[in-house]
Amino acid sequence: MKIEASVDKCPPLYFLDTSTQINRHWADEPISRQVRSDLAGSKLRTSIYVERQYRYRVLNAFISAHVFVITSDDIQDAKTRLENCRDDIGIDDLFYKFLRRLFRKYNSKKPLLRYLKRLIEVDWQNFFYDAIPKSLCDITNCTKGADAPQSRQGYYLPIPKRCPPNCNICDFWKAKKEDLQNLAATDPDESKRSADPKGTVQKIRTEAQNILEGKSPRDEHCKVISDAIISIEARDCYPGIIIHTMDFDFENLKEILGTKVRFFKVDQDDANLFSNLPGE
Amino acid sequence: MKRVLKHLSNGKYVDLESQESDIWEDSMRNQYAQTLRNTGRIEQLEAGQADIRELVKAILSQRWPSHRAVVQYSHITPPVSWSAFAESLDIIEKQHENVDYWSRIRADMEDKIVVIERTTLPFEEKLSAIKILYCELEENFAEIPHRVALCAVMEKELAAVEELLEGEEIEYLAWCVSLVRDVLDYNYAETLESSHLKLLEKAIDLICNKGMNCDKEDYRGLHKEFLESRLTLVPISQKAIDNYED
Repeated sequence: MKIEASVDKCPPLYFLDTSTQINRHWADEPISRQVRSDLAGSKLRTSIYVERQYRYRVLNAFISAHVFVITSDDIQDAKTRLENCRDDIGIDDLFYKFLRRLFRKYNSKKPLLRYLKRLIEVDWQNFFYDAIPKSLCDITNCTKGADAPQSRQGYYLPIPKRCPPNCNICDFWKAKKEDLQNLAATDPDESKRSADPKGTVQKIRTEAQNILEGKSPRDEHCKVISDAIISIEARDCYPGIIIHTMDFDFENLKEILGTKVRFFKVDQDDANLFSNLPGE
Repeated sequence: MKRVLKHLSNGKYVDLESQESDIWEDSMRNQYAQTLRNTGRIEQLEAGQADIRELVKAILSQRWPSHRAVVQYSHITPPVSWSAFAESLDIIEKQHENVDYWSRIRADMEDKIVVIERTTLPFEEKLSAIKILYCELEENFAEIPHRVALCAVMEKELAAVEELLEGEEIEYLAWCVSLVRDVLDYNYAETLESSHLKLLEKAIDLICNKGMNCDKEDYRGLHKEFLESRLTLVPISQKAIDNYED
């Protein structure tokens, strides 16, 4: 009885997926407060691979805004330019709303540029590591954007979509061949397909088959299969850990990969603040 | 001819021949030293009467200020009349001979010059105003309407400091100012707690005391503390939505 009681009192150990990491600080308060409340009192962990995804998404939104402001005559001009090409850049609704408010707040370029600079150089890291120990697990050795933010003559350089030449994801999949085989052999029955309207599990299955056949797991391919990568590293780095996510794809992968998942659904109709795409 | 001088402190005429000359000289020297101390009074500088460079330079160059300067700065001169004092040249001559005395005065005034240079930065005057506002906020924190009003005023003042820092290359001070401004801008004042108030005080103290010497680590630490306090630091709050959404 005593043992059971002490187990009950143990705070849950959560592995934060990119969706939770982003929503707990950058989503509008009705959502971010709910996420933080759900995490309160828990031990939190995450990985370098999640950090790379987070960095790519957060920094590229702010760097794009910085570039547009610095190269525009005024803030209104920058706002219009960003609006016109935000889909091409890949700025989703969450960060677009965020930036739109900044454009309204500031009257002149310099304070806005300074604000973006501090977001890019310091703030994002503080948000990412909030209540998380700095020593992150790293079995993927992902190097994408590892040296970002970089600036040249006052202009920040966005993190490229393509993986850098020293990317080590091939080695990761060599070591996790069994998981690849399980993913490739997945054949979700009809009842489970209804829970995967985007067909993510099917896409992951195809990608796993391609990697097994010797095709590259890098760049866009890595993005498609990233939920599986995060599931595997959480499972292997912290046995028994629960993956905390707002992305339902992890629920679909848990039986295949043997993970524990806490899918957090916000209590609000407007749940499109986080685009539920693999790798995002 | 009998020499008489109007006594500078009480306005009575004094018969020099009937006084001990040493006592008279000491009296004048003491008053003159006080004159110089008064000239450099920091509280006068802080009250916006800072531009006394001409006067100070004149003193440093060991010549008397022009009559124009005396008139111009008469509001900050000590209670002793400069013109009356200048008439007592025979005594002043003796004081000129006292090298140590002048060295002390020079050193004293050079310190004051540093103070003058520092206090003339416009954003620092604004920061002093913010510190005063904070004290008011602390005193009236329990009264919510008062708190709301003072937080709004403080946010505007910080925005003004941000504008003033536009032309200055004081990156991390600007970051700290902007952070405190964000806290006030994105959080409804009525939701602030006393622990938040202490944090605001810490931030304002850092900004006012470290000023231009604020570095990246100061900012990083401050940001982390605000983050841990669960205040909203980015435009995601209901207040931000109300203020900055179309």
